[in-house]
Amino acid sequence: MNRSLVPVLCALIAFAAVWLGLLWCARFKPSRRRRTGKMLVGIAAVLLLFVPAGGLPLWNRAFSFYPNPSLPMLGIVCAALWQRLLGIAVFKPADWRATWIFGALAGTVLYLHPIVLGAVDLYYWGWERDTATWALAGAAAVFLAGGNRLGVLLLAALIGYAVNALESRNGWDYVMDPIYWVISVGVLVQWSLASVFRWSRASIIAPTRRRAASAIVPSRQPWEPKVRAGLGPAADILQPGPDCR
Amino acid sequence: MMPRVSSGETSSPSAHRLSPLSRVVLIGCALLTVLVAARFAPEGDGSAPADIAHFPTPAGVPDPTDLVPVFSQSWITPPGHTASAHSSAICALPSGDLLAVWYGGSREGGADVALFTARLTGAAGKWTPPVTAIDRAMAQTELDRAIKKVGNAVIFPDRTGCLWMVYVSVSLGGWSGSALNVKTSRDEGHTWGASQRLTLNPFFNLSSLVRNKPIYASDGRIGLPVYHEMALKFPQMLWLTPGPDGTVQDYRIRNLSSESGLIQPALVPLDHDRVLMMLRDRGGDRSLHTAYSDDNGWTWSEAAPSGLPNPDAAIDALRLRDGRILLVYNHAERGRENLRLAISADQGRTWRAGAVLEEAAHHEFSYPNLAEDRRGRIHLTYTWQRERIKHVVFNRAWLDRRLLVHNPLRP
Repeated sequence: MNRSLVPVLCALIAFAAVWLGLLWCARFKPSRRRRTGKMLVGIAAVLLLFVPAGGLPLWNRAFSFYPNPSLPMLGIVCAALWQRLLGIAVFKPADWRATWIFGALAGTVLYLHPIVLGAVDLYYWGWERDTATWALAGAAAVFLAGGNRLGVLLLAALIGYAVNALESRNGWDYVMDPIYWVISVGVLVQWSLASVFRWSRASIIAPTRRRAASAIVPSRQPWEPKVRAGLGPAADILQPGPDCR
Repeated sequence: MMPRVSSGETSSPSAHRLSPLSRVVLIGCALLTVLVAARFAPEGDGSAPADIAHFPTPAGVPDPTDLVPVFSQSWITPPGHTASAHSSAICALPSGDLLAVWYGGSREGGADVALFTARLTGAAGKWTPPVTAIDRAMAQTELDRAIKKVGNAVIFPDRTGCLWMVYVSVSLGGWSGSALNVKTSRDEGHTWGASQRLTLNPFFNLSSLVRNKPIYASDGRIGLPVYHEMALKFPQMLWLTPGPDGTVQDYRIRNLSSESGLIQPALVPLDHDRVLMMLRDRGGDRSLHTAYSDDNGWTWSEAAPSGLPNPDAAIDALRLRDGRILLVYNHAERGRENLRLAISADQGRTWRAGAVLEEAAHHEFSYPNLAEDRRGRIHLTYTWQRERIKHVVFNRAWLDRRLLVHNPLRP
């Protein structure tokens, strides 16, 4: 792939991410309604990316610090944007679950293993083209065989690696990046907290209130995080609304 | 009314999965991609080099005419060229000229810092005025991204005569946020091609730095010693496979010793697939460390203290034509107030004190770099008071005369 296309690819990812973020901030529901408003937000995203900061447009700043966005991250942003724009849920809850768990586990292993296993260098195996290619293909095949759409993202990573779509020559950089990892870990942490809240409500609060029998327990306590099964911190961005198709 | 898809409560989970046909097609795509990738994959070698080439100067070829002691010193940077100058490197070019590179500006890490080169031609006998090789703005343009500052650089020729410059640039934070870039020149450094960014670290590609010259595998690969500074500090080996027209065809990086605090590795190829690595100590030992490789730099032993002190300062070493190893370093546990030579005749196990090149209280003499020219003369450049770059040239006759025979350095 032409190296000069890499910044363009990164600019597109930044654009999609900013558009998605603005839609979320403006509280646009995932639906087919209010298309004009969403398009205006998209134009605002473009303008925002070209705001100069220190002599360079913002998109170029993003590329400076994040030059190798993984293909799954690109897929996540695009799927979420599609969902928010048109109300079409490309990824189902099981797909999101697999995506976040995979991101948290793979990222933790890749980024933190030198601290625990100093003598082992897993990142090196990403330079071994055959190893990385077969590993990506194998992982993609496992998820695809199970019908999970994470497999599509991994297949995209494999194709991206085959054509050297990113600046990196390391296969693992096509499937994992620090931002994907941090978001994935955040989702898992939120799941854990939600589980704790559910458990505490079921085992402590609810029995107490049942005993009191003087009030109707609301379905969700005000202090509980707003989480649905299979989603996480990005849930507010990613959740389809009632009119999703 | 369409079913809700967010919770999966109104339909079975299997209905949300990919259809069997889609699965088969996509798995087929994955297999096809593997086959195509295997067919068109760029050449890369993930095995240990079979041999080390003693390049650019042949080893073990003594120069019988060089018996008269020679020693001279000069300045590479003109007076007042820049307020600050640091981290020089020197290399002998295929033509016989010498090229030095360093960074200079108003202060270390300043936005106005640039990498400069100067040339010492055999005919002129003096250094040419400094020429800007790359500055922050040029790097920003060539790399298509924000660059905050440029730093350490090394230059070295490959076997085709192409000259390489690997340099540090920082987009965010301090030196530990560095990344490495490559420039190549087909005319021995008169003009340079555009910078290429190397991605060497999975975490935002942060913290890869370079200081010393490479070793050369006989298959054409270049083994460049680099290091990592963020959180953990450790040396690494960057293996570069040169492509046609001064491009980087393939590269990969191998982490070395897990012992934290050892950086700026200097390599010396020895005999029989053996390579010596000497390391700056940023840890508490304040001791110059050594490690050995018995497979031409691919795998390494754990680093061990050499017995020589190291005040957290860069060092360099060179294999002389008679097989001995010349070391230049700061002989102190604190401060860089002296610069000294030492010689080892037993592959770095013991050291014999050589000349003291610089010594002055409250001064700094640091970041030495060595190269040997065609005639076997040894060229040393180093930072003088963080203000100028100094050049010293001597030969083995001078070195032997100044060797302190009765003063072994090993305790």
